Order: sequence, then C-alpha cells, then structure tokens
Amino acid sequence: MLNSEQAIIARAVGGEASAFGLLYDYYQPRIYRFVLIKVGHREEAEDLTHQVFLHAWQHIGSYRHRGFPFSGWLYQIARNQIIDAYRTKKPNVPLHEMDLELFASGVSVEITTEARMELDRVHRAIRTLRPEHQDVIIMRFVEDLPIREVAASLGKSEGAIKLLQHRAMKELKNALGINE
Amino acid sequence: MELFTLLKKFQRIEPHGAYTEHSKSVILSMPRIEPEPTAWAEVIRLFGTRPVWMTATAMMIIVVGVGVFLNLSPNSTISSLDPVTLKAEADAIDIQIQLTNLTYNEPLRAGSGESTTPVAVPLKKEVREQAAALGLTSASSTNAGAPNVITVDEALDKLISE
Repeated sequence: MLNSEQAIIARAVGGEASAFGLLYDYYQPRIYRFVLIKVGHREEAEDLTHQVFLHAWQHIGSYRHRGFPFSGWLYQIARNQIIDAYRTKKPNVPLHEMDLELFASGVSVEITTEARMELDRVHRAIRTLRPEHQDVIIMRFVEDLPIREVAASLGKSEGAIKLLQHRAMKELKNALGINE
Repeated sequence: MELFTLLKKFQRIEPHGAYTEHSKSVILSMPRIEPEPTAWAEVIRLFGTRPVWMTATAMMIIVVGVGVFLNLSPNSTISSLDPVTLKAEADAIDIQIQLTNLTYNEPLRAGSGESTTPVAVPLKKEVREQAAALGLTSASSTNAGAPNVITVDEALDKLISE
C-alpha cells in the first residue's frame, strides 16, 4: 500500500489527475502482471490494463472507501474486463500453439533460458485452472497479497479464500505432475 | 525448483516503459464520468456534510413547520387543560361499571341453605313466638311508636321472675 494512500485517493476522487497518476504508477505493474498471466498475450494484456485504469479514472468519482485496499477495486475491474473480453472474443488459438511472450526481451531481467522454460511451463499450467483458482494463485503466491485483501478483491470470506487457495495449489500441482 | 519460488519469479514481469508512459498520458487526458446523483446522495449532500448545528436547525424548522401546519400551537395545547372543558369532556364520557361480584353472589341468592335470607326467616319466626309468650307481641309495633313499650331490662326481669 502507498504511504498516505487514503489522502492520495481522496485527491484523485476529487479529480486531481496527478494523484491518480501516483496510484497508476504504483498499481499498474501488478495489474498488468495479473492480466498477462491470465490472458497470456502481451498486447492483449496491455490493452486490457489500459482499459482497467481508464475505467478506474473515469469512475473514480463513485469510488467509496470501505476499509479495503484500493487494489481490491482495481482487481475487480480487471477481472470484469477480462471476462468481458473473453465474452466478446473467444480465443480460437489452441493453448499449445500460443506464444505466451511473458518474458519478452528487455522486459524482465536476469532470467536464464532454463528458468524461462520452467516459468512458461508453470504459466501454461496456471492457465488450465479455473479463473477463480487462477486469481487466487496470482494474488496470493505471485503478488503476496494478504488473505484479507484477496478476500475483499474476490468478494469472498477469508475462510473461503483459504479453501480456494488449498484447492488451487492442489490443482496446479496436479497439472504440473508434482506429487505431494 | 520449488513451486512457490517459481511463482515468485513472475513478479519480474513488467510492462514496457514506453507503453506505460503512453497509456498513462492518454488516460489522464480523458474526462471523468461524474456519478449520477441519487435521491439518497442528495440528502447526504444536503445534510451529511454540513456541521451538526446546521442539521439541527434544519430539523427544528421542519418540526415547527409541521406543528404550525397541524395547528398544534402552544396556546391550543394549554386551552385543552381548561377545567370547564375537561368537565364537559368527562360528562360526555359514557362510563359503564359492571359489578362483576354480582355474578359471584348469584348462586347464594338462588341457593337453598347457604343464603342468609332462608336462615333469617325461621329465626325471626322463633323470636316472635318467644316474644308472644313473654307478652311482647307489641314489640314489632313498638318500633312504630306505641306508648306501652318495655325495655329489654324489664323484659329480662319479667322472664327471670317467672
């Protein structure tokens, strides 16, 4: 969470573009990762991330702080954008033919070819999971978000998130052929 | 490599700097969409963000206004306490008191040996006979103001002497 985030959000809600710019700088990379891991295409992830923040900026006047982090609101918008994108445009490329482009040149640093192949394998396994399990895996184990924040973002109880996380990891290990 | 460690490596994914700058400038140049004001939001806007004393004043004005509208001024309230008016209102009230214990006494009145009336009648008859035997037959008329009235003491003396 940003330092004095509430004050920055209040300024952004009041229409101050520079305040929203600060929120954009802080949250855009993680929203981008969330979208990219779920959709698998860099350009599509860029378009969707742009739409997420455009929607957030245009509707920030109706944002109400209810004790949950601002990121929860952004994740909700991102999930809805992804659902809408898949609803209007069904992916017609088989998964094994997709170039995931997760680590395009100049984007990520110090990742060996071997590690990149391993990550591609994990990424493909994540994308075989149910959307809800994908969300929990990304938020909990990629972004290290606390359970409370994940629960707020997904609109579920903390107990439900713990259960979901357990099932998601079990399913991911099965997809990767890892014996527990 | 452990799965959790691998998942953490996804944090190295970052968007292109050029894309980020361009996207940000485009977004911030777009106009915001003002939320539609709802009725409740209007109430909150009017009262919720004002100081407490202003809200209290507004509420007071509403209450007094409603009172005037319903003709509930202080004078009309005091006039309702006028004794004459109260008496007239009290007279107008139809008070019906039911003596429920009458129902309780009803069986005694109609009963055979328990009532005081059947017991009193034979006693009165016996007393009359004794009085007649003692020459006190006019006792009942004594109460009517007859001059030959004897007192109880006299009657007792007469009885003892026999």
